[in-house]
Amino acid sequence: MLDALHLQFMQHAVLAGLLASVACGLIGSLVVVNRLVFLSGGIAHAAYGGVGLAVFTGLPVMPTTIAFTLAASGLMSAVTLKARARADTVIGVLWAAGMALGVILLDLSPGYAVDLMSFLFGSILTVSATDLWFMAGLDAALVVLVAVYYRDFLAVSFDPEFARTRGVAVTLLHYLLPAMVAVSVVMIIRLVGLILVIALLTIPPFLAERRARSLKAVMLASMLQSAVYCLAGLWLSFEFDLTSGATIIAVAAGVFFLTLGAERLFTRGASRTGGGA
Amino acid sequence: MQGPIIDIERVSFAYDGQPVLEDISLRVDPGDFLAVLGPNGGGKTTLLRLVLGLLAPSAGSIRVFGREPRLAAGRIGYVPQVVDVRPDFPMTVLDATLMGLMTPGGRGRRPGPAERDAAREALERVGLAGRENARIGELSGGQKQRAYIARALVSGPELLLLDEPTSSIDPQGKFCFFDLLSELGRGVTIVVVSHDVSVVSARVSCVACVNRRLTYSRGPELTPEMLTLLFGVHRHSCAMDAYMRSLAGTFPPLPRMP
Repeated sequence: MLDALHLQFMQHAVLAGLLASVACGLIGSLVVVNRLVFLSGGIAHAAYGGVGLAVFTGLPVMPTTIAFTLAASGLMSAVTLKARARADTVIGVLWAAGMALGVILLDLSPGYAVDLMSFLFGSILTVSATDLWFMAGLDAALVVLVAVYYRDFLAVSFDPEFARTRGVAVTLLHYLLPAMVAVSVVMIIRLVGLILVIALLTIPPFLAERRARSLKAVMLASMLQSAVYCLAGLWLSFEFDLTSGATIIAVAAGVFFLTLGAERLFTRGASRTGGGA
Repeated sequence: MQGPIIDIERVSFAYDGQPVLEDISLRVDPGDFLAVLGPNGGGKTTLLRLVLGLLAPSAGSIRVFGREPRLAAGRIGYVPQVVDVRPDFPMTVLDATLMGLMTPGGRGRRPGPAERDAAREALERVGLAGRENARIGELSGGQKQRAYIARALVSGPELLLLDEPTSSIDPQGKFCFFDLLSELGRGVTIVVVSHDVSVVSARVSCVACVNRRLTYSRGPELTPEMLTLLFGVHRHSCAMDAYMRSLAGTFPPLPRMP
């Protein structure tokens, strides 16, 4: 791995992993705390429509995909606000419709040569220096937004009605969070692809939440975890010549199941001891 | 002389064309302790949400502290019904209490030492001293209820609104919820909304019943008219009627509080 670090594409991959971990930790925590996992899945898959649009029109891929995904997230936010009871169905439809649009637009694109798989499963080894700057900029924007709205986000996820009585802009946050998810998802797609992005958003906060007493702690622990998963996954994929995105997710999922398994064993043992006493 | 705290005039409200409240008028004066009784679905919570400015009436006008409800929300302490919080929700009891000090202008600011002290003091008042650093989801239903009361009290509100406060009281608790409300002192005006008729046994100064319409009585009495609104009209031969008469006798007029 240390030898590999002399290779520029590996340096870029490591930096991309670290930059995406910042977004993962911040936004994944908010997603898990606000129970927006399904919505985030919808946003991630709808993003494929943006990829198709970019290729079809010849516009730069990342900005176009972000703009398209932001629009999709705004639509989903509006639906969850106006028709709460139907929200899951509509998100499911947008989820599939976005992907279908992407596939069709790619079919229609002349001389289409983009590797479809790289968007589905990630292409961290092809990250360019421009991509890295772009990711760093998005990270900075996310950090500022989370810092400004930290208490408001926390209040809304705990008790939106009470938050509204204290003057929190509940509706604004209802749109803002999915928009932040959209930006993060597009960034993380570079690493692990849109099919696997949900795992990297949700596994670290889920595990962090079991001990943390504040949202801040969940965010920091999630950033660290996702950095570890990214670096370990990259190393394994390099050593054993595996698909990097899938390997990163495999590491995260492995930790997830090991933790749950260990906890189960531990509590069973503890209750047995307790029963004997 | 201060004007009314809450002044509701001929207010109606409908959800999707379904009338929930019709032509309701109600005045709450400084120092009142009003119990609003009514069956589930009778519009009690809607009434609270109108006073908080979370909903706007379809007709009529509401003034709170002489202003539009939304502008008065900062002077109100609101205690919503206890809802389930998952045990691992990453928020301490202290942080939940500090939510009560949030202000529209305070975005991005962290609570300072003075605010933390105020939150600790509010928790002590409701008997939760020592639980500041527990996760809010780890508390029992009754303890959560008290934490929500602390969250409402921490801003030093002039008006306290409580939604179904008796639904989560620990039955075995040493903490007497109604004692706390009575000892809040003269300055605080209280409105309690409940389907539980027993809240009248607290030292309420007036009672209103809401079931789409509203009847009101000065003094802690349930009038036959109110019981009709609560339970419907019954013929004399009906067993419910005898029960309602006995209920009316259970709450004799108490001496008016000075």
